[in-house]
Amino acid sequence: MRRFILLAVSMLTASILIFSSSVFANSNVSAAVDLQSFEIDSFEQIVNAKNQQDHLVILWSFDCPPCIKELQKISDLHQQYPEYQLTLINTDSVDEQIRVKKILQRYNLAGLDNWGFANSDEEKLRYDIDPRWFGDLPRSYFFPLKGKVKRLRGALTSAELLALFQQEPIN
Amino acid sequence: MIKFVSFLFIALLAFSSNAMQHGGSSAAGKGKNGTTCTIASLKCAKAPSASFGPDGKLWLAWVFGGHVYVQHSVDQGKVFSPPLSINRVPEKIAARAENRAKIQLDGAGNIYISWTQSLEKLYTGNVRFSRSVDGGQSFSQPITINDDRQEISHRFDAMIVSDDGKVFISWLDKRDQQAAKAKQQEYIGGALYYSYSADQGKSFSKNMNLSDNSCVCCRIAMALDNNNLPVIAWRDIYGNDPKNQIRDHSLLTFSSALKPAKKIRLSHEQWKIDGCPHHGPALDVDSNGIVHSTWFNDASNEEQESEHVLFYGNSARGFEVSDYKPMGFGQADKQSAHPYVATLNQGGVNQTVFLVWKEFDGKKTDILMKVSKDAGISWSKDKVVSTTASSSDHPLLVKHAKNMKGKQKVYLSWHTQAEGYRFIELSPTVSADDV
Repeated sequence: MRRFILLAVSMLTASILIFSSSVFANSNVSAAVDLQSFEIDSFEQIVNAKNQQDHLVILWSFDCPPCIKELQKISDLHQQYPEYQLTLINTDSVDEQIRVKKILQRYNLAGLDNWGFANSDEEKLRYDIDPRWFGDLPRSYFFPLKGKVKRLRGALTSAELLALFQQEPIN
Repeated sequence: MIKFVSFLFIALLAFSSNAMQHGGSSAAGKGKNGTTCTIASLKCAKAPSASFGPDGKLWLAWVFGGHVYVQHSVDQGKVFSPPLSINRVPEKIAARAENRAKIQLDGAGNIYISWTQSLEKLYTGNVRFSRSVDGGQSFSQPITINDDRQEISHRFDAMIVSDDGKVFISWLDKRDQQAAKAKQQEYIGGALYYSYSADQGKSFSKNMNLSDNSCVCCRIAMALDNNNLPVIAWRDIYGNDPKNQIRDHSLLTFSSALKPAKKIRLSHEQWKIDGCPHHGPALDVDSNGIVHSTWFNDASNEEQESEHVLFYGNSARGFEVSDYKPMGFGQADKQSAHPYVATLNQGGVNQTVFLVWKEFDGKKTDILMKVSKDAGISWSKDKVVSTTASSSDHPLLVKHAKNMKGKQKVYLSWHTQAEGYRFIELSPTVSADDV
């Protein structure tokens, strides 16, 4: 029943999206994507709010070919395992949000918990996430329910993504 | 009908470019940090570059609202002339982080500008060029340097100009990747491409592929050697396995303007990442012909974090000798990044080498400096030369033109969001105590 409702909702959303994209200009296409404003302390809030199950946070930019390649794999994972807890944080500038939202829609990732860097103070935002993150992308942080946080550099393969969620927790 | 539409389009462009030129302002919308920056000014500029002319005038190029602007200063950056737009028709210009407009002058005072125009599709662009042969009164209609016009990536341009007006441009190009894709073959990364002008930028040579399989999102470094030929450093990809891509740096010299010599490997930190580092190298050649280079590599792994992510090396003994070991510097825990290098000949055989880079301590960003007075053998302590609490551009070093009389000088060129542009002389700050 729940699946059915989900399906119905997603079909409705999809049809609204298709309708709006064909009728309205760009800004309305992406209005359906909720890109929350990522500021100082946002990372801690996101991580704390999602500590009841394994959680993967992925940082990405549209001007990064490996990021786009990885988005497809994240999308596949999300379609197959919608219960996996995923958060996407986009690092592009605020004035590129329409483009960012369109990409999220294109890769069927609009339904995920999506965030976007709120300002150009990249160093501060990066430092707040991880002082040892120098801006290389994509970058991911895996917070397992049990065990050590994993800092992951570069694009993950489908196998690597699956392994994160499916491997036995280390006690 | 088509004619009418295109007339309308041109009229619209003409109107918008006129509107932008008059009064030097444009409706650029939201600026940095959500504040509205509506005036085409150095304060609101994106990613300025600086270069000295033969007469000691300082020239800047920067981007605002779809235009590249230039300004000059006769007093080392205290007061600048009103900004002048280079491109009449606005276009989307890459001017963030690793991207900026480049400005170079030759010995006759001709001014050369290059930049990357972003196109509609993701990571696509064209390399653009304009010049002034009347001392910056007017600039030529921009031309596209890449002779491949597919809507693919021809981006991350770098440019260097010799005193006699030879213009060397290199960039990262994906035409070979595109061709491989069409044949369903794998091609990792992009390629380093190059074009050259022997006639002050009037015409350019056919594009040349210098090296396949480069990394695709880091700035390229270019300098001239003592034969007025280019030296290029860039982030390359070593290893053909898509899951085992080592993103280390390479160096290329030339035996003539159209004949590259053998590529050599510049760095060996073995940074394995299927991603975009967004950290390109910097490079300078001293008057003894020694190549000095600095770069970023974060080869940390889960088990061990690298002590340093910034490195400096020079070619005094050759980059390819077995015991070649670059110097690590900067505080990695403070996000040390974006190093730049410049060398000065302060008389005799002694070469002074300046390194600057950025660090962030959680609250403020510092520009740090390290100086060597013996061509990179021994080094001064790290010293903070400028600070901001706001966001800021990468730091750059700018030298007085070679044929300036008197002692050569080196300056820090740095744009900060809160304080605007800073141009700070570094050379006299080097005292005996510092080294």
